[in-house]
Amino acid sequence: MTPAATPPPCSEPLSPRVLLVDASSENREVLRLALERRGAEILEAGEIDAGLALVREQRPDVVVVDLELAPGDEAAAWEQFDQAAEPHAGRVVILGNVRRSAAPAGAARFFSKPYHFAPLIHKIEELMGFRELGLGKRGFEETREESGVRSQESGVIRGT
Amino acid sequence: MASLFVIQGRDQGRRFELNKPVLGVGRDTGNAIQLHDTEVSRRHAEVRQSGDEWVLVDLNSSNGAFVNSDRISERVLQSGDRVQVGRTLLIFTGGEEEDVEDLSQIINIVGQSPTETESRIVRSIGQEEGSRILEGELAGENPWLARARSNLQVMYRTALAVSHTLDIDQLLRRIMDLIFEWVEADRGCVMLVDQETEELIPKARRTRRSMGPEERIRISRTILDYVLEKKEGVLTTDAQEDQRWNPAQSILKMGVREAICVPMQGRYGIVGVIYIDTFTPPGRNPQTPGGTRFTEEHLKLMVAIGHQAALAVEDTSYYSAMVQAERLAAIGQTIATLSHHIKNILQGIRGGSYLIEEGLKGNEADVIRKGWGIVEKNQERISNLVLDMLTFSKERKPDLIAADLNETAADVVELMQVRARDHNVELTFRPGANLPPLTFDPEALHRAILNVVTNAIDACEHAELGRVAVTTRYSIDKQIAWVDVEDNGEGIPAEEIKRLFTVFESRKGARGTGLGLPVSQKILREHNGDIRVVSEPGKGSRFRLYFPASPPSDSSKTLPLELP
Repeated sequence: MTPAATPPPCSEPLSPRVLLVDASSENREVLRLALERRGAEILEAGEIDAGLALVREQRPDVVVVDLELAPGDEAAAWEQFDQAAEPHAGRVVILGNVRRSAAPAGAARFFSKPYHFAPLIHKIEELMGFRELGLGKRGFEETREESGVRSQESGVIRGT
Repeated sequence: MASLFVIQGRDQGRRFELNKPVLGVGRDTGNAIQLHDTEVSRRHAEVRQSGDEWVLVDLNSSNGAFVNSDRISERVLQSGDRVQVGRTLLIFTGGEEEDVEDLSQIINIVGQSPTETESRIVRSIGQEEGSRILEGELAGENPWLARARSNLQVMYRTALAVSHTLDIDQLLRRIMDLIFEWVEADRGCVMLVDQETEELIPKARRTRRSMGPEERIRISRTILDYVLEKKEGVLTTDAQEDQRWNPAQSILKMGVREAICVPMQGRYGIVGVIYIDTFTPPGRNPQTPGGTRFTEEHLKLMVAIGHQAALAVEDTSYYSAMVQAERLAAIGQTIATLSHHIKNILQGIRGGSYLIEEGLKGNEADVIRKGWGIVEKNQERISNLVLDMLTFSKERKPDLIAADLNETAADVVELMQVRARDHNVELTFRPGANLPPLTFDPEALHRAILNVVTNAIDACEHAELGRVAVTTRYSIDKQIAWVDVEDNGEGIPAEEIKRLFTVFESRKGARGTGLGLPVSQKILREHNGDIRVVSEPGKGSRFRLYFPASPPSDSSKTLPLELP
């Protein structure tokens, strides 16, 4: 993937914004509580289309999508979110039951359900703090090991 | 669409649709038609589309590909063809939908029309009576006609036996009985070709009563091989053909054994043989002209019976493969649905636990409380799932006691208030005033009402001012009690109402188990009652759970109740 060339918008708020797209209000609640405690601002959507609209309008820093919202069409939904988030597709985290091999890109940001929250939050933290901390590639490799993904795919966006 | 259906082998019951121009057949995972059969090569064969036809092509496999028992290198498949690779047997069905003539244009089923000349029923005849036409002796009937009539009758009854049973052993016994009624045989047996070993396995055996049942039947291997290879029936006798002696003499001295052995020739091959024999002891004169008891006519009819029996055997194996396929599909669906729900509950528990852990780290009671709330909710979900599963899976009689319907309904309403508040729904209960003491299983009915109320609250998700009203009533006239659960939620389209009670069909997507309403319905039916649904999309629904005041003690068979 090419390095992200867009500079952060001038009006960028201090806290990173995370969009949660999940049908389960319970899962959204858990993530919201955990991420708000870490200083994130949370946007929520319970449907694919509403989620995509928020990605385009609000340009959140991180997008978390549960693909169970698109049963039978997971790979396409993943692709849609990646495209909507361009050039920050690397900041889309996917939850669901997709076969890793069917994943369009970036198996490192995929969490198979039922997932554990600690590594997921860790990954989101990494992506949230990305621009300020400039973690670079290292951060991705760490999580890849954590989530047990052996893939060579890195899906990295270099920060500016 | 054209398809290949596995009727034999480890993949029995699987159906492969021919949905690509070229489909590989083999052991490797890359094959569209992957067979778990060690005698199938990794890439064994291919099914290729050619215009409207499908062609089976052998890819130089070590064990070869067969169509209707012929080894082929390339063969256009016809509907009904039997494809064998390794130990796996598949039936090809062509996709010839387009060729079907629209018969409804030509054949009309008409009601009573006074203008047209009507056909009227002159005489009617039942299934059973059909065979009786062939019975009875006509005075002066010539022997040939009598025999023909008797032959026709045995064919008719064979066909009847074939169409009435799906159990192979029973069917073969029945056919043996029919043969014995019709021909003077002493012993007989049916042998089926074992599909794995290709050996002949005796399946049904019969001896005439006067004979000891323990007597072994010895059948000449030469005769069996002849029948199987030539696919012809044979009539044999050990009577001396030698013209130097008077045949009748030799029969008188030594007796004579006659036998008929016919192949069971089916659509696709020989599935077995039928064998009968008879022994005329020395000193007794056979009654038939020519000195024997079995004639060529017997042989011809036995060949026809063999064919009928073979068709039935083939149908039965096809049928059991289909049953197997359906069973596998149902089990697969059940497991998939249940794993899905359990997985979601597990996800919830993990979320709750994570919050508790976070709260403990920072000593934040608020976060701990929220996490605990989520864990509790999911604990409740799993308990509901398990109870629904148990109720659904068990054939159980309700534990009937004298109970108060208002109390049961009130319990449910109280229990559901939290959920209603969470969903911003106003849940109310209006108890009926004139409710007599009723006989029902309060625990079961609690569950039945709970499931319906849960759905009602969920249905109000998008309603601005969600309202769910629970009412109880009793009709003195009809002696029926009922609970109404009304909501002003999204409503149910008419075409979906009849699918509401189908197990695993949830209208709530990932949130529903698809068990709630089937379970409620089962409980009401166990009480000789039922559930009626009235709904209008956009306005809401009413579920009426009704049952008789005192269900009859012998709840063996009761008429469905009229809707109160």
